[in-house]
Amino acid sequence: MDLATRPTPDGSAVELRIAGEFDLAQLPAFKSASSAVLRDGFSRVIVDLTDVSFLDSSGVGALLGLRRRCRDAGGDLVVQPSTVVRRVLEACEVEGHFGLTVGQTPSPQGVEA
Amino acid sequence: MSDDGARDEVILRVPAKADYVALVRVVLAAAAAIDPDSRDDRVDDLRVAVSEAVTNAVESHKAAGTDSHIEIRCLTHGHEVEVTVRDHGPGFDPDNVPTVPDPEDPQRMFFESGLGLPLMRKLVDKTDIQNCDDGTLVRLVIDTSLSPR
Repeated sequence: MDLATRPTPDGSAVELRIAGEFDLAQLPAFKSASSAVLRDGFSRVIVDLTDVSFLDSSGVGALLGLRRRCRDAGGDLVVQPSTVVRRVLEACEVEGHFGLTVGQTPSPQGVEA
Repeated sequence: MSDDGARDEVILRVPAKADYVALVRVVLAAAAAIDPDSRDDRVDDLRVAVSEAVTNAVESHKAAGTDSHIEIRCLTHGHEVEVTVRDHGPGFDPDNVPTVPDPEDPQRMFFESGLGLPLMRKLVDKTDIQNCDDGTLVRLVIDTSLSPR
């Protein structure tokens, strides 16, 4: 899994981009990056999963955990899913609770609580 | 895949480590895709279900502190794929897992674990879980030529 973070141009949110497979083996790296984002003061997070080729419930649980932490800090989390990711989120019946975006990077307003 | 009514069998024995879950997925998905009538989306669903079963096994071994291996067996017959995952952990009672809240329930979003078993049941045609003397046996069955559930 490749993982990178960068602030949005206006600095009001951070984009967390993941590529490759997202399962149990990648949780430590994801949790470390998530903690760093929150520690840096960001509570509005855009998780770009458009290049994720595999996701299971380990990854879904990690996304739910990050969403909870963002909301606790006054922000929220938006997910940009690949087809595979969307299928798993739908199968877990949580897609309706994530702000899912398609095709373009959401504006920071898109991650307001 | 054999078309003579015989079953083709693939057996894996892997360390109970997170890094090996992807290896199991790759091998089993490749075995399932040998059937020319298999659908890519169904093989994807099988990959997820297998990943859930093997992940549970890895975490079960970690909880038990055992360094035993996990055994995975894949049988293909026609369009049907049967996968069994055998671990040597402390055992698991599928009837005693917390109930996942309804999708409309706001509490659903705070249910960050325990999603694996419902996901397996959702994605494949049949899921059986048996407690054994020294662990758990998970059996998954899917017809990869059918539309996703």
